[in-house]
Formats: sequence, C-alpha cells, structure tokens
Amino acid sequence: MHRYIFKRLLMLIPVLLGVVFIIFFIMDLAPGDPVYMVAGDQATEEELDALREQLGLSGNIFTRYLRYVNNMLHGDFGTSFVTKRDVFKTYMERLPNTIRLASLAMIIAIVVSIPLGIIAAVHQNSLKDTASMVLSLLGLSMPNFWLGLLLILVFSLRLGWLPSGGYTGFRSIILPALTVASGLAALLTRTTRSSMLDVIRQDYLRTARSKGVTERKVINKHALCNALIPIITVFGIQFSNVLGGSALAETVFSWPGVGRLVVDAINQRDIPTVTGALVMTTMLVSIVNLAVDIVYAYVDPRIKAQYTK
Amino acid sequence: MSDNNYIFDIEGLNVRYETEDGTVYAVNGLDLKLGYKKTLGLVGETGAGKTTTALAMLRLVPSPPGVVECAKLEICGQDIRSLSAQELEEVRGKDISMIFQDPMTALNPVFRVVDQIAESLEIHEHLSHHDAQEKAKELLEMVGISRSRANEFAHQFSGGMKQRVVIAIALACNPKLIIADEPTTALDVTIQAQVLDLMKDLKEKHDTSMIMITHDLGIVAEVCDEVAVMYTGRIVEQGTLEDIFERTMHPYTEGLFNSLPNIADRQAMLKPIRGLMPDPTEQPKGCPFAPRCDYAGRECESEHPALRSVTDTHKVACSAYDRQPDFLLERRKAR
Repeated sequence: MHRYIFKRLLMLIPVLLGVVFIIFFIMDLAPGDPVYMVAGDQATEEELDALREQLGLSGNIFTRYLRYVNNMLHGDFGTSFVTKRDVFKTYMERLPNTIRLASLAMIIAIVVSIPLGIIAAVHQNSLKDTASMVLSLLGLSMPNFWLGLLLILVFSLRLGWLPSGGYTGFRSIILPALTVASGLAALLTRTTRSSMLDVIRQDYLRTARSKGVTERKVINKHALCNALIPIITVFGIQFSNVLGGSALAETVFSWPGVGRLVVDAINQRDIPTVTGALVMTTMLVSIVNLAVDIVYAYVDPRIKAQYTK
Repeated sequence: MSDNNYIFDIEGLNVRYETEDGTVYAVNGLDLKLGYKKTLGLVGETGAGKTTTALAMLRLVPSPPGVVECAKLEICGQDIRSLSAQELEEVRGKDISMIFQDPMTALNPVFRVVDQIAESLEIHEHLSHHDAQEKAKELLEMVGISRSRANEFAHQFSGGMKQRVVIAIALACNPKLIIADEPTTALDVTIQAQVLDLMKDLKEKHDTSMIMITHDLGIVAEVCDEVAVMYTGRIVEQGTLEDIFERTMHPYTEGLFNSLPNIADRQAMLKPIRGLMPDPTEQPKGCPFAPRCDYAGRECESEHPALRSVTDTHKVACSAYDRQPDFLLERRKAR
C-alpha cells in the first residue's frame, strides 16, 4: 500500500510537467502579445524587447517552458504582470476561501444526496423515487449562475437575510455554498440511487436479512458499503472540480476564490498567474484523486488486493 | 400455539411473481409439515418452486414482484404470518436460518468473514463484539476453516470455504430449523461429501430439524428422513425415505430416478424425462405433469389430482390410483 502511494506520487511529476507544457502551448496560441498589456500602447520597439526579456517572454516556447520549469522547481511561480505580486502567494491567499466554499458545498451535497439516493433506490418507481429524480434533474439542469442570482434575489434583496457577495464571515458563505452544492447534490443523488439499485438485489443482502439483521441496517450498512465505490468516484471528481474554483459561483457572489483569480487573470492575459494557478490546481486535483484511490482500498478489500499486487 | 408435534406446518402456500411480462405461479397450494429433529428432502427440477418455498417460510420473497398467500404458516410454534417486522428479525437467524444456494454471491464482499458470522451472534445472543468474534472463530474452526483466516474477505476464499462460511453463519445461533438450499450444488464432489458430513454431524449434535433442498437424490438418500417431491410448485409425492425410494408412486418421481446414471450398469442409456417443465405463467387445467407422463390417460389432461394419503406417511398426487387401485409404476414392477 505504501509503495502504491509512493508510486502514485512519483507519477505526479510527469503529469505536472505535461500540464505546464499544455498551458504554455495554449497561452502561446492565444492571440495578442501580453507584453502590450504591461507596456501600454506608447512603448517603443526597444522598450518592448527589453520588457519581454525582463518578463521572461523572450525566446521560443521550449526555452520559455524550460525556464519556467526550472523556476518552478525552485519554488518560484513568477510575478503577476498586473499586480506585480508573487503568484504563489496570491494563490495561497485565495485557496483557503475556495477550500471553505468547496468543503461546505460538498458537505451539503452529501448530507442531502446520499439519504435521498438511498430512499429513491429503496422505493424504486414510487412517488418518492420520482420526486427525488425530478429534483435532481432540476439541480443538474439549472445553470449555476442563474440559481445564484435567484438566491441573491430572494435571500439578499427580498428578505435581506444574507449578504449578496464578498467574504464577510460565515453568513456570506451560505448562498455560494448552496449554489455550488445544488449541482453536486443532483449528480450525487443519481449516482447513489443507481449504485444502490445495483446492490439492492444482491444475494448477500438476503443472507443478511436471513440472519435477522434489521432492514435499516441491511440498507445502511450491508448495501451502502457495497454501493460506495461509484459514489466516492463521483465525489472525488466533483471535489477536485470545486477545488479548482467554481468560477461561475465565485463570480456571481464576488467570492475571493481561486476560480475568480484564474478568470480575472485570463481576461487580463496575466500569464504567470494563469499558469501558476493551474499548476497548483493540477497538483490539488492529483492529490484528491490519490486520496480517492486510497479510500477505495479501505472501502473495498478487493481493490486493496489489487494495489498490493 | 397449536400443534407442537411439528417443527413447521404449512398449509395452502401460494407464491406468485407478478411481473410486467405476466404472472409466474411459483408455488401453488403447497402443504408441508415436518416433525422435530427430522430432515426433509425437498426434491425437484430447477424452477419447481423449492427455493421460493424456502424463502416464503422466512418471509424473504422479494415484494414486489412476489405475492405470498398462505392459509397456515407455523414454524417452531409461531405463526410467521402474524409477526411484525421486528419479531420476524428475531426469528430469522435464531429459530430458523437458511443456507443459500450460491456461496459465491451469498457473502458480503466488503465485510470480514468473521464479522459476518459474528453479526448474528451480536443480534441474537447479545454477545459483546469481542465475545462474538471469538465465538465466530470457533464456528469457523468447527466448519474446518483455520481461525487464522477469520479476518480475510470472501474473495480470498475458495468456493468450498465460502460455502462453509455460509453454513457457519446459518449455524451460529443453533437454530431449531435449518433450511439448506442446495448447499452442495456449487461444490465439487469431494467437498460435497465433507460438507454433507459436517451438516449431518452438526444436526445430530444440536438436535436441529432441517429442510434439504436439492435435486440430487443421492444426497437425499444419505441425509434425509422424509422426502417431498415438488413439481411446478406443487408437492406430487411425499413420504418417508423408504416410501419414496422403495415404494415410488408418482410417475415424476420415477422419472427422477430413471434420470440417474447407474454406476452398476454403465452400458445402460440414461432415461431423461421427456419434454420440459410447463410454462410457469400458465396454470394447467389438468395434472401439470401429464404432458410428460408415460402413463397419462385422457383424464389426466382435464382433472387436477389432489395430494392424498396412501398410507400414514405416504402421499401422492396422481389420478391413476383413483382410476385403477392396483396401478403400479414400471420401477415397482421390476422389483
């Protein structure tokens, strides 16, 4: 198991190198020369060249890539073109906000979706099932920013209960978290339901019932533990998505998170910030994925057996 | 609590599965009872309703699509039909337990084997977690699995070992009645013998009554006191082991015997029962076995034979004996 984790951590290195290259490549393809953003319209050709040299924009894509990777290995993610601040520092300032939002949204999603999915599966084709499926379809198909605007309209403007944006303590996190959670909960409900339906007719549940296990325990212990793998998979994907920043929700609620940092940086062609933020996000996503794979092993002993092979 | 002479007493059991493609009549008006400490062999082809009968006794028929109707269902002196969900949970695993057919799927893949055995001990004997684990390990040893493997999972066990775990689960609380649903079908022959011996030993040690569901008449001869032959959800013949093996009366039972390979006469051709079981979504008007029966007359197509007693112990559902009191099957004539 430890060897497996070590192997997976080693595999992070080529992944990160690849990601940095892809970001470089895409930013290179984007039209417009970022140096103008910094120098302004009035700069002469000589000034531009000097600035390029200074900003590390000179040379072809490979030299720039190697230079960047070298700096990155020394812990230097560069300085923002726009704010002139250290990218890593800026990212780390934003990250706690995103983690707060992501965690609360995931907690809400789990608390809602797993019971709902179980109920839907246990009462398959009943009214409860249909209701929860309609609800989750609604959650899936409702655009995030629109739900966010609706929530602001009702809870901030009409009722005045909660702030409409910014970060001013716990009250301000509720609306963005609900917005992000709605989509997550919808997908998790559907996953829980279908995974439970697969398990619910299995022979080993009959064995459990024949032992005299209560129906509640049959479902919540014997069935759910077997249905967890797909749920954890979807959970992991969703969690790494929101860790990368829920750009839409963060924009609607002017939430000072990573998602908005990246969106703003892209708009301003702030290449060091975009690259730095995406590399950090890649790292986070990889770590979450690794964590999910490790959790698999504890949930399902058959998977653990594969790891240790 | 009436009749205490029987470990179980079932009258008029009907089970049907109502699916979108039609209703499957799995068990049709089944009467069955068994004395204490006896072993009943429930014999018949696949699809005869044996497993459904067993599940109905524990009220484990999945509903929907299953619909169970029963005039009387008493097990260990309790009216199973009237039990609440909670009372039922107390009976399951304690008074009655079941050994399932397919050990490959009967064990939960994500729980340790020892925990799966200990679970019923914790429920019924109210043992602490530690004591239950200890007792579960003893049970594993009793069924011939080293206690060092107790903390493993089902996928680490062979088929025979899984079946023994399933048996250990069923025996954990010394139930009064064990329903063994083809406990040896999934096993190879050498393991079969071990498992059968094991079950016989345990049964004698704990004075347990047992229903042995099987289509293997060899197993029946070895472990059963009484035999009930099932066909299309009905009992067609029932009696003591001697009644069924020596004084066979129903043509279907004879057919089952004829389908057995004869090791003494290896040149002899097997005589399978011709035809197939009728479609279980249709309820035949006459004797359900008539289309496959070598002795069937025209009357058999129209009238439904009732199960009637021939002697104190022997019952048969065949109208040939009504029409012709001295009717004898070929198998009996040969003797």
